[in-house]
Amino acid sequence: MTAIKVILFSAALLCSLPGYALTITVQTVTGQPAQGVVAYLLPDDVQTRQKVNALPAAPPLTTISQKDKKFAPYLAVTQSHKDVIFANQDNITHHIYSLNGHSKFDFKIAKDAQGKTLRFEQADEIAMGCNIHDWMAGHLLVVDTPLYGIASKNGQVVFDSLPNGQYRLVVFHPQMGDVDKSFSQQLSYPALDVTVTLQQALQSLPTQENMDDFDFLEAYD
Amino acid sequence: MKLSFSSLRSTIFFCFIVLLIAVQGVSFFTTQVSTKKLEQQKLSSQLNQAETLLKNEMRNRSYYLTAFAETAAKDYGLKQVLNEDTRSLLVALNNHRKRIDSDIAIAIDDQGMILAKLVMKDIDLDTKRVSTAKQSHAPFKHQDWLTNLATANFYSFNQELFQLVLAPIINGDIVIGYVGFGYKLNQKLTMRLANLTSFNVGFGLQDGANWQWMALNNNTFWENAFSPIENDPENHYVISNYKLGEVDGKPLYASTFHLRSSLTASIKEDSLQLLLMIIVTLIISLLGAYFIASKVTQPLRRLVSIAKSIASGDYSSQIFTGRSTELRLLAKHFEEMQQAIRSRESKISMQAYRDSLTLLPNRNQFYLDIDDCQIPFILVQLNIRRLAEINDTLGHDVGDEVIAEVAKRLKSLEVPLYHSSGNGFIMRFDDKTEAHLQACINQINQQFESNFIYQNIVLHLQVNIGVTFASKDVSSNQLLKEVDSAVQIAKRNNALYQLYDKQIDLNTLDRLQLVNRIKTAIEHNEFTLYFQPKLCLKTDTIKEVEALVRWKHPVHGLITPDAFIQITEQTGQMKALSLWVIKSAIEQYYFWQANGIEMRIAVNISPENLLDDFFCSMLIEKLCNDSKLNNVIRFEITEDAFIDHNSKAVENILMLKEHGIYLSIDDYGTGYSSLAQLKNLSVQELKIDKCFIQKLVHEPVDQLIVSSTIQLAHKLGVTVVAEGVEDKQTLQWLKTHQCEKAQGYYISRPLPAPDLFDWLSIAPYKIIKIDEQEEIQQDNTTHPAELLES
Repeated sequence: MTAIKVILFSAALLCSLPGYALTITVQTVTGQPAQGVVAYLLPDDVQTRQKVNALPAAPPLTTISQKDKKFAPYLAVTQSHKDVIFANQDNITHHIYSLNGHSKFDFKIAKDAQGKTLRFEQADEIAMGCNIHDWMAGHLLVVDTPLYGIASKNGQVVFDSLPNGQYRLVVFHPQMGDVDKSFSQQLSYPALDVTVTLQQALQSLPTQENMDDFDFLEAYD
Repeated sequence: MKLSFSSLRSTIFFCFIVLLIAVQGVSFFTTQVSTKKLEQQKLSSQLNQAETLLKNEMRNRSYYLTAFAETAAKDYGLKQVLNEDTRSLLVALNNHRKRIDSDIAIAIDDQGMILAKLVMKDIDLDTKRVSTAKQSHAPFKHQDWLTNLATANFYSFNQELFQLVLAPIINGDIVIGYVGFGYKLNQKLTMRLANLTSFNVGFGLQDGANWQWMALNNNTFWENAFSPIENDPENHYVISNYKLGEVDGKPLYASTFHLRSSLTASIKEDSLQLLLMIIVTLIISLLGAYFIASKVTQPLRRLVSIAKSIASGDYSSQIFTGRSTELRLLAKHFEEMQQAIRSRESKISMQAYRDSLTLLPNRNQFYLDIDDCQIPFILVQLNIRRLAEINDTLGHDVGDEVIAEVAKRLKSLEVPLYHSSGNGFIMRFDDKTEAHLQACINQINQQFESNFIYQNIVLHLQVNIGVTFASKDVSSNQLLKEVDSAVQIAKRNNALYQLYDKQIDLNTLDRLQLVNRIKTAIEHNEFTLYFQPKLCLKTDTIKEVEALVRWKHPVHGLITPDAFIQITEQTGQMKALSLWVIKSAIEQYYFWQANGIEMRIAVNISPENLLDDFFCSMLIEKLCNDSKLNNVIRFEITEDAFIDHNSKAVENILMLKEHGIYLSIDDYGTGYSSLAQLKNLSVQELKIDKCFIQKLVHEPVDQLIVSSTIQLAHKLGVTVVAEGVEDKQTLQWLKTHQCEKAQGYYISRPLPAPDLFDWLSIAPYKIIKIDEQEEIQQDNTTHPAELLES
C-alpha cells in the first residue's frame, strides 16, 4: 500500500536505547496536524503481547460525560475488559444507546444519577446516540491494547516506555475515510518516530447541537 | 313592402343595413377573436391549473412521505429491531406503514441490503392486503438513492410504480440503515387527480417513441393505446406532459390531457348564443332601420303626393310634412309655392281665356265653350270697320276705346260674346236658325245706330258681319273659318253682313293650300293663260285680248286668280308669276302670228312688280329692243299702284311709258285713284270697272259716270275700255258714247288659246290677218289723234 507514506527517521543511537518514547505524528491530507485522531499499537507477535500485557501501569478508566447535551469527549477510547464510565453532568435524563457493533446497549441515566459503568469484552467501534436528544452523537473505540492515544494539538501521540517488539500501528477516527480506516502499519520497536499522513480528508465533526431548540415558557397559563 | 333601389328610403335603409351588418360583423368577429383568445387562455389556464394541482399533489405526497419516513427513522423501537429478527422488523415496519396507509414500506441496512419489504396488493379499489416481498435480504437495486435521500424516487416493482421516499436510520451520527415509505401511482390516484383537475390524468413511461401507461384514470384511453406523446395533428386534445423522474432509465411522465371539444363546448355554446343574439339584434335593428327610413322619408313621400296633386291641378292639398322645424318650414314654403302657382295659373288662364282689353272671353274660350253647345245656332263674326284708320288718325287709345265701346254695346245683347281678335268679335245666337237671321242682324245693327262720342269726337261705329249657320256637327275651326271668310267678303263688298257660302270657303281654303306651291306650279306648267277678247267698237274688230292666268291645280282643278293672286303677292312670288305670264303671252303672240293672226295681248301686272327696278328694266329690255313688242304686249295695272303715292312705282311707270310701253289702268273707279295722278302718269288706257257697266242701261247715274269718264279720258288723250259688258244694249250704249273698246261675257268669256282661235273664226267680228298688217299699223297710229280731235 503505497498510498500511505511513512517517513521513518533512523537514529542508531536512539534505537539502541530501550524504553525511549515513540512519537506518532498524524497529519491530514493537507499536512495539517490531525488533532483528535486515535492512534494505537497492537502487539503483532506473542512475545510482544506478553511484554505489553506485563506493562505495570494500566491507563486510567475512560469516562464519557454527557454535558450540555453532548457526548464529551466525542470520541473516547478504552481497553477491552476495562470499565467505561458514563457520567451525566446535565440536569436532564439521557437515554444512551448503541445499536451497531457487537455489544448493543441502551440505558437511561437520570440527572444527578451515579455514573453508569459498562465493560466491553472485545474490540469494537461503538457509535452512541441519545434517544431523547437526537443530535447527540458519540463514539467509543474499544481496543485490545493499552497502547493508544489521541493526537494532540500538534497531531502527536507519544508512547513512553514502549517494550521492544513487533507492532501494528492503526489510526482511527469516525470521520475518517474508509481508506484511512483500513490503514495499518508494521512497526518494529525500537524505531524512529512515525508520521502518518491521512489520505482522505476528515469529515467535519457533528456539532451535537439541536438546530430546532425551543424556548421554554415561564409557565403554562 | 315595395322598395326601389333609387328611392331615398331604400338608400337610407340599405345604408343602415350595411352599417348594422358591419358593426355586428365587427362585434362578432371581435368577440370570436377574443373568445378564441379566451378559449386559449382558459385552456392554458386549465392546463396550468391541472399541472399545478398535479405537481402539488406529488410534492405534498413527497413531503408527507419524507416527513413520515424521517419520523419513522427516528423511532427507537424500529432502530432496535432493525437488525433483530425479520419478523419483528416487519411488524414494526407495518405498524408505521399503517399510520400513513402507504403502499410500500421498506427497510434497508447500512450495506444496502433489503431487510424488510411490505407491499400492498390491491384486491380491488377499496381493499388491499399487505404482503411481504420475497426480495428481502437482497441488495436494494437503487443504491444511489441511499446517498441522495429525502427526494421522491419512483420505484418499480411487480409492474407497479411507487413514489418512494427513504430516510436514514441514524445511530448517533452514523447511519445504520434506511427506512422508506411510498404510495402507488395507481388508477385510484389518477382518478383522484382527475377529479381535482377535471383533466384526464395518467402516468406513463416513455421508451423511445413508445408509451407505456402505468396508471390512468380512464381505462378507455389505455385500451385505445392513446399516447400523449404522439402527434395529434388534428389537435383534438389538449395535452400537457411533465417529467416526474426516471424509472429504470426510462423517463416517467405525468400526463394531463383532455378532449379539446369537450373543454371548449361551453365556449362554443356561448359563441352560438352570441351569434343568435346578433341575428336577433340584426333583425330588430333592420326593422328599426326600415321604420326610421320610412319615418325620415315619410314627409318626402307626402310632399311627392302633394306635388303630384299640384301637377294634376289640385291646389287645395293640405300640406303637412311633419312636426320638426325643418319640415314645417318646408311645408310652409310649399304652401306658399302652391298659392303662388294657383294665383299665377289663374292669371295665366285669365290671359289665355280672356281678352285683356275688354275682359271678354277670347277665341280659346270660344273653343272650350263650343263643344258644349247645342245645335242649331247662328255664329256671327263682327269686325269693326276702319279701326286701323282710327288708330292711325286718332291714336291707339281711341282705337281701344272704340273696341271697348263696341264690346259694351254687344254685351247688352246678352248672348255669348267673344273678343276673338283686335277688331273682331264673335257672337253665338243659340237655338236660332236661318229664319231668325234678319232679326239677329237687326238686333246687332241697332246697337250701332247711335254714334260714339269720345272726347268730343263723334265716331260713327260701323261693322262688317259674317254669318254662318251651325246646323250640323261641324268643327269649331270650320265655323270660325266660315264666319271669317264671310266677314272678309262683307268687308270687301262694303256690306253690313255676308252669309257664308261654300264658294267663299273653297277660295279661302285654297288660298291657304296654295301658298307655297306657286313656284313648283310654274315649274310643273300648271299655269295656263285664258284670253278674253276686247272688241274695238269703232271697227267691230277683235284686235286685242286680255290674258288671264288660270291654275290647273292637280287636286282642286281650275283656280281663278282671285284665289291665289293675293297670296302670291303676299308671299313675294308675284315676280315669278308675272314673268311667266309675260313669257307665255309673248310665245302666244308669236304662235298666233305664225298662224296668220295679229293679236295684241294685255297682261295684268301687280303693283308690286312696279316697285321692282330690276323687273321694270327687264320688261324694257324684253319688249323694247329688237323685238318691238312694246306695243303688242300691253300691261294692265290696278289703281292701287298709284294710290300708295309711292314715288318708286310712279317713277317706274313713267320709265316704262318713256320706253313706249303701253299701260292701262284696270278696274278704274273702284279705288282711290286721283285724277291728278292720272294726269301725271298719262297712261294710254282706262278700263272702267264692271260695277259701273253691268247695270248701265238701267242706272242713269252709272250712265252719267261712264259718259263723263269717257269724255274726261278722251280729253286727256286716253283710250277707254269698258269691262263687264253683258248685253247688247250696253254694248250699243257704249258704242253711242264713243267708248273705244268693250270686254265682257256678251262678247266672250275668257277662253283657252285654242278655243279662242276657233271662236275668232265663227265670231261676228273682224280680225286682223297678217296680210292686213298695213291696215292695222295705220289704224294704230291714227287712233290717238282721232280721240284728241273728238
